[in-house]
Amino acid sequence: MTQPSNYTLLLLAAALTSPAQNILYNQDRDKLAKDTLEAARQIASAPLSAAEIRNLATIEQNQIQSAIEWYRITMRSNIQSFRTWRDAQNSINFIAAEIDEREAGLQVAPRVAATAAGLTSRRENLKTQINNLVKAGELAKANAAKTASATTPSSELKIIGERVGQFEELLAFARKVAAGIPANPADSNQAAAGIREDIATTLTSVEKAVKDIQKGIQEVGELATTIETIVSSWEKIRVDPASLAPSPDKIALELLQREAEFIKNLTALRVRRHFEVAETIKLIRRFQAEFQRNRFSTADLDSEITADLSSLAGSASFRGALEQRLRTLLLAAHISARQSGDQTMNDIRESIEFRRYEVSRQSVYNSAYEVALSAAAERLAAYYASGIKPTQVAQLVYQLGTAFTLPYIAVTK
Amino acid sequence: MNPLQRITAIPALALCALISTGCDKDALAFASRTAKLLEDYRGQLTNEISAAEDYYRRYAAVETDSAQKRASGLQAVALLETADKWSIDYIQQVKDTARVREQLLDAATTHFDETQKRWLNEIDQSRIYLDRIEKLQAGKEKAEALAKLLESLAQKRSLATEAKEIGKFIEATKEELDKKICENIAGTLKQTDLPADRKAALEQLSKDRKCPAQNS
Repeated sequence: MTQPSNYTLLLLAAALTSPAQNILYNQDRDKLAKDTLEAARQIASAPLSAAEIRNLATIEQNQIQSAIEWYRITMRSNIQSFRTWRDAQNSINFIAAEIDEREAGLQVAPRVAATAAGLTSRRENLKTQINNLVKAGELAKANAAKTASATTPSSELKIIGERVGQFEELLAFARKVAAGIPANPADSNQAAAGIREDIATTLTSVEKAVKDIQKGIQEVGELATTIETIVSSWEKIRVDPASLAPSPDKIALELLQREAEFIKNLTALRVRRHFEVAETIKLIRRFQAEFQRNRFSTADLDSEITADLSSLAGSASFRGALEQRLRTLLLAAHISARQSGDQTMNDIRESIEFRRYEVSRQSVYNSAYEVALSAAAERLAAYYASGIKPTQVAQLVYQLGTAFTLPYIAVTK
Repeated sequence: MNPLQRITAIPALALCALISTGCDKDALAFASRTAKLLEDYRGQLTNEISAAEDYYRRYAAVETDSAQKRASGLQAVALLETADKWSIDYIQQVKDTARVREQLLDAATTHFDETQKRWLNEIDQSRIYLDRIEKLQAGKEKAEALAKLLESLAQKRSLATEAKEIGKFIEATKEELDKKICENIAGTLKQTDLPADRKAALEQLSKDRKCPAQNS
């Protein structure tokens, strides 16, 4: 591994054993791959579904605002219709009938017509499926953790480097020994000093050579790491990019979670609607009870409300009856304000919720593409960034020269 | 550096480069398959955007219709309320029945003004609703930009281009190597105990290699 021919062989081997890859770094391709990665990340960072969900929020807000405007107009129209007591009664009865009809499910939007029982059963199924998928995911994770990492050529080079380090220690010891060489009585003082100086010079040269060898090994190590990276990045682009998408199990889990969320939201909307309708029905029953307490005769029922109130307002003794009639009218006004509009509002909310679910479900599929595209772009970027760079080759060639030529010249000069 | 080693290293490098010429086959195929995947994704986006835009158009049409009905309903209610109020005003003699036509003209003018607003806006009222909707084309445009980049990555380079690129690589390597050799010469020249003949040889070498002048 320490001969120049071996280094070039290393390059050649890398090129020959990987005939479908380019081992040399190409700046233009690297830049192009990096731009591609950035573009892929842009797609994933601003998904279409996020914009769609924002639009749905705008639409929901507008539609609810429109519905509220409608309620106000209908309320005003109802109040104007209270000419006679019979009119008021009919107006409230009409609202009650509307509620009954809608509660019977006659006007529920067909696509959100799932029954409460159906929802509960679906939710239970989802819970079981999610638990199964979570268990499967944990098992897969545990298996992946068992995979042991392989020994790499660069780790072998590290061992060689350590051995050279040990040799350095040996040199330091030799230097100490040389410094302590006693003068031979047969030699002149000058000659003994000369021998020591020669030994010291030789050791300095050898020490420098060892350091250069160490640097060379480090360079080879770095080059080996680069080649490992090239090979590994090459292996990573030999797969089908579609396989980089999340596993079908993961997608199924995501879909199930979205569906669970949709069912939860739909259930919440229906519970809310149930309470709102129950409240209106309670008011209608109270109105009917109060209406009965007025004990209207047939003639009273057809009399003008204004004329009836005027006749009662004239005397303090009718205050109780006047209060009773006003309570009845106020309740009719409250019911008119609530009216059966709850249904429309809930229709809007359920319809938007359904659309939101569709978008959310679509986003799971989109996200699978986005993940795969992003991962593929990352692999391409890693591949084009992994080539051997001119600086590395120059450094290696330079190290070859300094490690084996200059020290040799220095020692033998 | 041993000249023999340098002589063998650079051609070997060029040989490596030649062997690997046109060897981006897997990367090109991978980029091409990724582009195909992107194409599927773009198809999905197109369908989704189309469905969303249909939904928005339907919503805008419904809202426009609803707004017109609300305006009519509001005018009808206002009519009832005005008649109710005026009847009391006439009974209580707050208003003069003799001036009913004048009052009717005021009411008609108000009605006319409100209706006129609707007429003027009626060219495309749905735009009011559609303008509030965020445009969805941005995602598609980003996907198209990515498609162009992937197309470039999937495109096989001509032999001439590859040869040029290898030439550039070798040139860059030589430049780097020269830089290092010059640094080494400069470092050696700084040694104080350097024999005069060796120093002269190194200075000549530095000159020959056009090494940048070093500060002493």
